[in-house]
Amino acid sequence: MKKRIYKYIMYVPMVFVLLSCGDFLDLDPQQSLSSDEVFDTQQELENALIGAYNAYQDTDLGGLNMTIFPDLIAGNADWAGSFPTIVDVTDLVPTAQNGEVRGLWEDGYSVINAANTVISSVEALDAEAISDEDRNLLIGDAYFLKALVQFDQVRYFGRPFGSTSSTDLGVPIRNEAVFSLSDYEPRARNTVEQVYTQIINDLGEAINRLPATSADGRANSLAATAVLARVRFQQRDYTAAESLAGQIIDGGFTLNADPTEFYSSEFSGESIFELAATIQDNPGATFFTHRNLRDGDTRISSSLSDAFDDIVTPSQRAALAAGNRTFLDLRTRLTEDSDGNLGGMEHPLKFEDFVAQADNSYIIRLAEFMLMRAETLVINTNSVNAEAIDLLNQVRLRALRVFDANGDEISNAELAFSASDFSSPAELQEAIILERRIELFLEGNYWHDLTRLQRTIRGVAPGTSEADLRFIWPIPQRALDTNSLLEVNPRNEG
Amino acid sequence: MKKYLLLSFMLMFAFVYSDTWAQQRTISGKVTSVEDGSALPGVNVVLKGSTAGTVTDIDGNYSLSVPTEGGTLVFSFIGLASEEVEIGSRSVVDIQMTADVKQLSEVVVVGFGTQSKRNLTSSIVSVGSEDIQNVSVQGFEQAIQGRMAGVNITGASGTLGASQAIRVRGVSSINASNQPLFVVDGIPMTNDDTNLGGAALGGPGTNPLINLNPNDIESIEVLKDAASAAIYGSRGTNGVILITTKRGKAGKTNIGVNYYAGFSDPTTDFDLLSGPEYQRLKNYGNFQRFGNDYFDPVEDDSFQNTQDAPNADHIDAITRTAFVHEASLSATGGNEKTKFYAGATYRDEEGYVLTTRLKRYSGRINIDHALSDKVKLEFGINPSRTENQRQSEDNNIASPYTIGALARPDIPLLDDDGTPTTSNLFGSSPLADVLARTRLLTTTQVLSNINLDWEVFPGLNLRSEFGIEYTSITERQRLLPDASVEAAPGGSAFANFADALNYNWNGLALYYFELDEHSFEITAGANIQVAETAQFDVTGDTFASEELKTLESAANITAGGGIGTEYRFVGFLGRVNYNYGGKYLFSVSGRYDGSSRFGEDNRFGFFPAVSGGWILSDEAFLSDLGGVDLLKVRASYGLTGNAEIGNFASRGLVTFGRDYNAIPGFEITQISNPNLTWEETAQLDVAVEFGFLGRIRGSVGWFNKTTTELLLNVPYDLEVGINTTTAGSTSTLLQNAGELRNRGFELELSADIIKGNDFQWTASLNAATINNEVLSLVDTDGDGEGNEILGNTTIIREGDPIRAFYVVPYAGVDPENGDALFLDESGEATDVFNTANRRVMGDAFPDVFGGLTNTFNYKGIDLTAFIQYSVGQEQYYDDGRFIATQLAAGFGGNRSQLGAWTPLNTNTNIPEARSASNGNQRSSRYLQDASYARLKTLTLGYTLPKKLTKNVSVRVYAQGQNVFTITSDDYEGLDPESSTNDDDSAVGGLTFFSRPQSRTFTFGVNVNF
Repeated sequence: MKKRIYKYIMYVPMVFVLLSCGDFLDLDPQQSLSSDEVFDTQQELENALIGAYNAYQDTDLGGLNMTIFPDLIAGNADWAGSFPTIVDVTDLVPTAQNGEVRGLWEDGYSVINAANTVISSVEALDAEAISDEDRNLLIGDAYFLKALVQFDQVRYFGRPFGSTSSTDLGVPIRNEAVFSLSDYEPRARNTVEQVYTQIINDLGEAINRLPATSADGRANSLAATAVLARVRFQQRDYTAAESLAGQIIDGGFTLNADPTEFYSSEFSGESIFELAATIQDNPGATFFTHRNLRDGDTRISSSLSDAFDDIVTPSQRAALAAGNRTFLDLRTRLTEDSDGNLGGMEHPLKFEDFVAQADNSYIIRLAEFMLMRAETLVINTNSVNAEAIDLLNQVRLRALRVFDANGDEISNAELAFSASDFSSPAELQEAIILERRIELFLEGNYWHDLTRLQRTIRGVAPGTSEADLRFIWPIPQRALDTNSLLEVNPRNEG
Repeated sequence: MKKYLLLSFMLMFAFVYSDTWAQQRTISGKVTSVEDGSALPGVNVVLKGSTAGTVTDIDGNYSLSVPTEGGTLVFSFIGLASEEVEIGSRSVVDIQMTADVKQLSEVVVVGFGTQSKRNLTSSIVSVGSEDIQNVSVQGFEQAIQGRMAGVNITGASGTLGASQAIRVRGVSSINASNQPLFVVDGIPMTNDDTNLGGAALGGPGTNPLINLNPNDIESIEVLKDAASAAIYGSRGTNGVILITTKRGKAGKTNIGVNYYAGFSDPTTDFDLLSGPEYQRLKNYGNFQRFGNDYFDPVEDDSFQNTQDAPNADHIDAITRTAFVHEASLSATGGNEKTKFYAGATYRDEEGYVLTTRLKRYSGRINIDHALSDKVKLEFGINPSRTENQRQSEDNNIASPYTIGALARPDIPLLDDDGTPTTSNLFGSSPLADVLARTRLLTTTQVLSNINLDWEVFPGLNLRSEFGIEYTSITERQRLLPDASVEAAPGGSAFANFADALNYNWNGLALYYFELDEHSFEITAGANIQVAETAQFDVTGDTFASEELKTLESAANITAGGGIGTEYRFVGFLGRVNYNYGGKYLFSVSGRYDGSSRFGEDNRFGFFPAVSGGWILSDEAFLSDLGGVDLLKVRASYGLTGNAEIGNFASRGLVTFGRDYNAIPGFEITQISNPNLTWEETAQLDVAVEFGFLGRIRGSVGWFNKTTTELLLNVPYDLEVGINTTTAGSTSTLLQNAGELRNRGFELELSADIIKGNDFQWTASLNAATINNEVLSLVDTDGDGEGNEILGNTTIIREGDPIRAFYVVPYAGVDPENGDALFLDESGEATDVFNTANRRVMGDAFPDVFGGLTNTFNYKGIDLTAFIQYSVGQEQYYDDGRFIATQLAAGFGGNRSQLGAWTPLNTNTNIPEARSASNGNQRSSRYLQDASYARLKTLTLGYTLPKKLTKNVSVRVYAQGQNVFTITSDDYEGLDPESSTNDDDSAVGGLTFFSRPQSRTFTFGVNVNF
């Protein structure tokens, strides 16, 4: 009797196996879903779009690099950290193996493809499956992200926009969604001009489709207009830029009373767009911008520190001194020194949330466009334009404070500019350019400004082969390894 | 009438039926051993030609009824020479039995059974418990290092519980794991160090098998060739390691008590600049970089009075001489029906890095019980627990050993208030950091198996083997504000829990029969395995006090998550072992194996193997020749597979958790490949086994393993825009797309050099060569040649070994100006790194590796010395890019940097110090010959004379581990065995502040009674 029981015990599992062999080995992953099942409904596509935003928040893109690199490259900031890749970027010698260089390329294309998958999948939805409004929202957001990535890619990997852009090489444009390798075909680099055209086209889609207001951290038509303004500005199409900047100014934003307020709050009145970071969900970028107990990786350069001194003209200084008055540029409080004293001009404080790392990045805000409009007015009218001076003053005076001999705050009107302060349009433009440099430090601006103005950067003249070597990033080696259609940049060859 | 008829029938029947009915006598006697006269229990005593028989009892006595006249008794026992004795007219037959030279060593454990070593046609090496127990190592892998030809075990790190990379006959995979399959008492272990190894701390990771107590192990067999491993089907390519635990024996209960204690230090240490040396060299470099403009002696950037600079030895501050001790108890015993083994061990070992410590508690009971004379039950249970206090290691800025070398030596260890300074590196200092972090990994494991063996009739056994492995880890970390890069008030904390439940069932039928000279052993069966893993973790920060330890007190919970995963295997197996006259051997096996890991279209695979052997020494022409104990040739060929990839590698997947602003998002993270299939290896193995003069034994063999359908992460264009989540490579698709080959020779030789009465000396040597070559890789860029897969310092390409070191050649220093020089492809020297070209300059495969053991016995004294060697491999000293840079950055450095080029010291290989990059790029400057020979174990023991200790055997001993190491002249690293890479990875050979192994000295006592 016992023996029979043993026999049965032995064979039960065997029977089980034989009966259900195939199904027995059919398992599904618990953290993932199959990729051919998740691009079918509106809800799913919203999740896919969020994935694209998340990808854009990578430190290689909007999460960090695109915000701080322009200042490191152009000398507004120094890099005191140990990451050799960023050291090389700051020293203008990144190699084709550099991780940050590869990140802009590879992670950038991830965002672009995620956006493309959303666009093509939403377009494939029937009219009943999704309302027009939601359809436009998804597609508009996707185009917005595509444009952001391409705009940065073309500025880092291609020559600055100019007279040779129809032949200068940019980056490959990708407009097809790739779900599996059979959807993909390799492509060579498009020209800088073609890329700009594509960017402008994508922003146009975004502007047409998106409403004027949106949820925090998401694009809207005004944010897309702002980016378009930046693009036109970069192209030195000052006519278009003037009008676009005007649209932003009329867009219902207001300057915060204190320039530091923007960084200690989120989505304030001045904010046009910010990439939202939370305690649980952030790219960990504050590690690099904060003083973080190892004395800070990102430092204010002495050049920027000196520039702050020029914000008040010598004659204004003399007038202040004569009256025993002092001034303070509140924007210096966005820096501190190693002992923690505000205004110390050593360590930046714009991205200070080291504990929670919840600082937002990739900032687009009103002050930039006020200055943009001011500058374009001067250029377009070739005069000491009154509206320009007014805009300049608005930005300037909200940052400057004047104190009397007792230290009490008084009106700062004396620091306002008037037409008589400028003997030529060029002088006014210089004042605006200086204001931009101070206002927008470590916000992804300075290098692009200098390039636009075709100025010498760190001793290298624009338009020279030296400039090509220094300021155009190499094509990542990994990209060259698999796509033989890609042509190299001067930096690839040493 | 009927009654009488019946009775007479009964009588006749009884008479005929039992020839012992009427004329019987009882024979009794005692069986003892000829060696020392001790009683031999369990010996079979059978009346030849009948079924009458018995077994000797605990005292060696037996008693058997035999016919009054004639009869021959046959005495047999495994390992002893059978004896046949005519009874004659005696009533007492005593006998002494001797060891059977032919059967000596062994029955070898093979997959799903055992086989006598003599009849083996496949390549299996074996290590017994005497080499494994009572050696002061944390895990069994360290005890078997270097003892088996062709099995290369490298200790990746000196961290307690660090994973060990085991490579059986080379490296057969690039992307799948290269670790062999571990089978403990029939249960294939999960060995999942991703989920069960605790959080990654920057180094090679911990070893989930650390819970296995070496003292419980009876033997370890490594199945090296296809014939032995094919029975494990899709998991046999990297070799199979069979671990068998001890079981009881009938007889008097034996109790063993063992204890040892000792201390350990690292085998080597850094040689770092002192504070004054650092400042002087830094001054020089700063002057070179900034010249007179910046180098103002009054500024803080330059150092004044360098000879008075503080001198802090950070490595010394964070290391210590560590204490280890282990106590274990075991008991074996039983009778004919029930046998047991019980063992318990407690181990407490400090690591030489401050605060690190590993404790293990382990208990095991194995019981064999005969439920009836046909059915046997085998039961085993082994609960264990290890508590591992860890610190970060290698490539992690929180690793004390790493930042101990990087920290500036001119900043004192302590602040004025006597507490460790926090102003050295990353907001802390090595000493402050190591004291501000606690990280405890607790691994609890229960292994249990229950087997039934039913002898249906003699020759046919049915077995059901059911085994469970349950492993769970709990990990807690607490960082206090003094820790580097820790800014949250009160610090932060992290907790992680994971567990794996792995159950395995084998159903086997074993049939053995003989037909004249032909004997057949047939095995057939099925195997099912299911393994489920679950994990979750939480991170939080902002504590009101440093004394609060758990996450309950964290004001902010900043992260959390958890995963679950599962895999299953199903296999059907069969094997036939045949021999003719014990001289001509043949074996064939096959396994049809399937797994949930592979795509629907390719789920199952068939893995056959065939092998044969010829025992020449049994042939007349040789057996007449004296001195030849054994001469055997064998060959095998078969297919095995490698299934160690992710559980869902063939699917197109999107992964969630790609959230933005608290809204869930996903991204495509894996492109589908429905054709994904096994990596398949075909292996040919030929060998000659020999034994001469009763003193010399060994084997010489050659193997050739060709792996096809190599799983490669084939890169696709970055512009595809799908970032796969495979660790270490993005934008790649896993495809079966390549071929590689391992081939080599293996030699095992052992000799009883001196076999005197008082003095014996035996030596054994094993050596193996590995020739690894990538045969073909997929060609995706259309240039007519296979793709090259480039790593930072390595390359995988056709014609070279896997991950050959592919770096820019370093050409020394320009004596004119101190520039570092490199070579371009034409061999021209250049000082511009970007114009130099990389080339293959070595690899991490040894040319020859193995071990040499010498054992001496003189009266009661025993001395064993075991040397492990490995010659011809290179190692990339990646630490050098940070500490052998002539102080290019702000970190500390090696003292060797004092030999940097200066106008007065132009004949040197170290470039000028410039506080900027000058020769610190990845070049062959940091590629070193890592050949070594290491005296791994040296043991001197003394067994007290029996006269003194009577029935108790007492042995005292002293033992050293990693006693000393010889490395090549140009070796600058710390430990030629170490590697910062995971134990699964294709090749190690790169260090990044990897901790060197410990040198340990222990003293111990074994008592057996």
